[in-house]
Amino acid sequence: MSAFTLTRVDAALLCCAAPLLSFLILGLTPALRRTGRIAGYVSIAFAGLSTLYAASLLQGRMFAAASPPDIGQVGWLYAGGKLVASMGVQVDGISASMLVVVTVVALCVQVFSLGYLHDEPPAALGRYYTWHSLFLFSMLGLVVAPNALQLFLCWELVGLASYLLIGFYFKKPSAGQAAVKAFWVTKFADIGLGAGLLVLYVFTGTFDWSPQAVQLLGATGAAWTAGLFFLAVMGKSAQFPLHIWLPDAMEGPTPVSALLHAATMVAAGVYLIVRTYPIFQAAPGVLVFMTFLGAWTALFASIIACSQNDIKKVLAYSTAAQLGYMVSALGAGELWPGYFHLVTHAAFKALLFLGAGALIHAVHSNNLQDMGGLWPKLKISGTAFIIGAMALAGVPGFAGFFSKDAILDVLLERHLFAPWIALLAAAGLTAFYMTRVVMLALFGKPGHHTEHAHESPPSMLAPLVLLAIAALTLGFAGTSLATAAGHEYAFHLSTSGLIASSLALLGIGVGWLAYGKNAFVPGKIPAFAFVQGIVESSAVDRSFAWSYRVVFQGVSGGVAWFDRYIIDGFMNFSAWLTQMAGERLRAAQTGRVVDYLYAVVAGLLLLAAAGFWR
Amino acid sequence: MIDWMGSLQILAVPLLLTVSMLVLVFADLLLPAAAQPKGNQGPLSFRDLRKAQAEPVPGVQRADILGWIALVQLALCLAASFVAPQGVLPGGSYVHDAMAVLMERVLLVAGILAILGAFGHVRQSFARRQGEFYALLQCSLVGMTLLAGTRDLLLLVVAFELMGIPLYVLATFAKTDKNAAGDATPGRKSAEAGMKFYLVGALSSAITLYGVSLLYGLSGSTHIADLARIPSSPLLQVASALVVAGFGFKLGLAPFQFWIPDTYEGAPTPVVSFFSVAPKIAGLLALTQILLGGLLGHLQLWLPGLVGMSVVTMTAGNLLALPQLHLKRLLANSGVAQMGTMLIGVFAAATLGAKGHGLSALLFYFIAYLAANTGLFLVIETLAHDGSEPSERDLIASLSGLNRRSPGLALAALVCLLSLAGIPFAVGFWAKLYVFLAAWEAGYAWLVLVAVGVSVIGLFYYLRVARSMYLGEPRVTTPVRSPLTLSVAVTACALATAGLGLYPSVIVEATRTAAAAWLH
Repeated sequence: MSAFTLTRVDAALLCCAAPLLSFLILGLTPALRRTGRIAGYVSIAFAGLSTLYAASLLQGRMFAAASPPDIGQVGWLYAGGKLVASMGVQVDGISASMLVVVTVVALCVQVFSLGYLHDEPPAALGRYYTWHSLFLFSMLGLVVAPNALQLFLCWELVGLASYLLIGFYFKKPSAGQAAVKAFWVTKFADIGLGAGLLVLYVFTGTFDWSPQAVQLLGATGAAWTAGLFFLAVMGKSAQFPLHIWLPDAMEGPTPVSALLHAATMVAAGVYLIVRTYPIFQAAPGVLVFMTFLGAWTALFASIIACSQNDIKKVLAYSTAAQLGYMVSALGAGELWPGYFHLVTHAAFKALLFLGAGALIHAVHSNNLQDMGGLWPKLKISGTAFIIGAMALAGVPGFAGFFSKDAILDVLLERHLFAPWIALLAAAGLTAFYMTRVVMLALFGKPGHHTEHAHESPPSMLAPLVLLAIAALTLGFAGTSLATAAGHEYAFHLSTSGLIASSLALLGIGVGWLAYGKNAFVPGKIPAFAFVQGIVESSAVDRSFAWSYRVVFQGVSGGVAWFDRYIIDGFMNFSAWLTQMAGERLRAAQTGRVVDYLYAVVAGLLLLAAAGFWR
Repeated sequence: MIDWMGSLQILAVPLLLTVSMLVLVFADLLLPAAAQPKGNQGPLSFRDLRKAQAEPVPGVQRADILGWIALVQLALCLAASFVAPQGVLPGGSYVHDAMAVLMERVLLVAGILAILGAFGHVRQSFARRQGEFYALLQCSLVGMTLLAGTRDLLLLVVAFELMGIPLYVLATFAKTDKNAAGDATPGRKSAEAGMKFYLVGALSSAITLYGVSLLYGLSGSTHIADLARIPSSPLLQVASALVVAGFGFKLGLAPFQFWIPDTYEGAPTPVVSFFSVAPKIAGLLALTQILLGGLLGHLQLWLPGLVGMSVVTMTAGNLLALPQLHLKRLLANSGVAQMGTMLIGVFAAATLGAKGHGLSALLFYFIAYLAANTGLFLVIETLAHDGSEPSERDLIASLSGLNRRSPGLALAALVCLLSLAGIPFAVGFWAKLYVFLAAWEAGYAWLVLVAVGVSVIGLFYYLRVARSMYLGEPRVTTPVRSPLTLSVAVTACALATAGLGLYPSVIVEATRTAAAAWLH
């Protein structure tokens, strides 16, 4: 037995510290950063270290499921003589498994990027890995946060990393615009998190989510806190109508989309709900709203995904839809199914994005029309992509099937029929649009660039294989994961599971008939044509644009007027007054000592008088 | 039987400082020939020395050896503050408690920063007088460290003068300075600075002494604690007003603050970086000792006047800083406003005593102010020392485009500016927040609102400086050259400002322990 033993708190700290160290090393030594690939190796090495610590933590948790969470905190901010905020780590089943999810996906993505971005100039590649390390550190800090304030700070940091990575191709105007849009939409939503923190603090005097804090909050406080938090969740986790930034965020490099905008960062919103779930549970109104909004987002985004021609946009809308599943399930009042879906989704959606990256890499285009017939050339990437698609579609046995089933089961159990039906429909649509993507990209007639396509290098294939294995097997790990997190879960084939998988198979069948066999042209079927017509005429986008114009420009116009003439007027006036006062007062500063001595005497007399006058 | 050894140990830091000062004076006498850098025309005769003192001959420079000696001495004193035992001097005139220890360390750090910052200036302008320069600085520090623990009016007055008189001399130290065009204006300004400082200081010392003598007459004892026994009377009213007014001058509270911009403008900048902070915080603490330790029972006699002074000081300081184009005058006036804000902590401590957090907030403010204000003055010194824009020396315009010339220096200055303005996650934000929270708890909500209101003005002029650094066009494109010691001092100040802003609890505990030593 060595004298040096690592507690779980230490391991969690090291897990977070590794990417921070990598960020500092790359950030502070421009010479190393500009080497590009070597910077990448540094970042990957530290991410690997982080992954090891995370895995050891999860393993420890698996065997100590019943023990209370390991919490290590240090006092950070004091005000008025008492401790206001701490920083530290909280390791329990949920955060340990989330750590593994984040580190494994991040590691896969960082390795994948070596191949995917091999044409980038070294300086750009170094910058890329620097931001990746920053992101990983912030995300891990968010995951282990023992209180809401630290979570908030890391939340903002991942937002910053997202902005920087979306804008990686900053010379492309659309990438810059997308980065700014993502930043503003999520920042707008983050007002909710900030305000929710204030409410939490006012009611409880802490930023904790402990049972005592929830008790202090009461019904009113919990409703306000949960409601405001949920606004932030809507932004981060792309829930209708704040999902608009997510499709645009696909301007970033595909591996970034896989890590941030599919597997981990967008799931931070859902993770926030999971973390502060006691507060949400004390706010039933918010929960109901979540169920319906999540289901609506799932349905709505799935419909749009059916008509997208950009492979990444399909996946982006599908991400919004799957996040809708999670939100809806959490709204139904049970924690585990939503969180379980978060974990499986992270695996298969990262796989899908990286697979899409391999396809894009092969044909140098995002467009499904440019692909086609890639299967014979990309056997390994193609297989991985198909596995991901089947997991997302919910084909029995694949990861998505288990978690989706658990979600639907909970909704039915709670008699939430409308969301249940919406999510079932979304499940069918998911199977349909994924079949469409697979058929258009891998099979069918060869596209313009198929000829020159070639299989990806090993650095890209290895992460694909790893994630494909996860997408195949993660569903069966549900029970042990649940146990580690202190929840009960055992798979059983339920009514909704049967219906969902039938619908999934139906969706696959229809998709195969339409795009594989070309048995019919979907556009000719009235109902389908109607939906597609709406989408293709971009009525949805335009109605959005219109409503944003009306609502935002109307409101903001009014606000701007008020700001310009009333507030600015007042500010300008007081600024003018202040300036004037300053200039006038300056006259007293004569530079003559005698005057200063007079001032001393005058001040003395005033002071003496002040006492007598009282 | 008096325990002499024990007493000496209790007084270790001030005593060590005194010894250091004497060593420095003698070293100055003995070292000149030995301290000649190589390559000069041999040892100088006494006559040459006098001539060189009158006007520095370019190229004939003495090595910085005396500066290094002074620096090592201060470091030793700082180390001594960690081993010197706490205790009370027989007779009770001096108490070495947690408060005195904390203040000793803060003041010694201020001294170290000033010396690090002064190296370049000393070598350039008054290399012949460097022994006196450092010795006077240490002499002033002796007074300051004594002030932190004094419980006796007599010792207080003596320590106060010990702190103040060397500063008058230091302010005039650049009297032989010339600007690049050979014009002697900077030297004349320095002489003017010292003269004004001295004249107003002499008057206010007289006022303080008069007040103190009245207090002694009333209580029959020089012990500050004995002042509590005095019955309330109009004479006590007059006496406390005299004391407050006398201190008001030293601290630069309105309407006694007029000397401050003139003095800061003329005095050598490293000296300003020292006496804009160290004597201010030592003086405010001494005033707090008299008010809390002696006159707390007569709160109604002095509090209204002091609250009024605080409001006037914050307002006048900020308003006067607003139109300034001269950086040192701007910082001088903004420092006046900062002193007004610090006073709020005294009110909170006086009202709530041990229940409140006014005193610890005040101590926190001292440290925050030390880091940011010293840092900024040293940035000004760096630019002046670089001298690439002589016509704009010490003006805001000299910072124009600094970010493109020396990004690191600009960043350091920005951090300090943000801290003084009280922007979150710079240490100044916490300093203001703690003081305001303590005052709010003590029932001074209106005062807090006034303070927040006028500090908005501060935001404007601090950020105007920042705008000039980041958006202005550089007149010169070469990077700013700076002596290593100066860079070290600036970096230390900026790092402390940023680091303590991110993790303030490092010093919160120390300030609370120190405050508890006074309030029980």
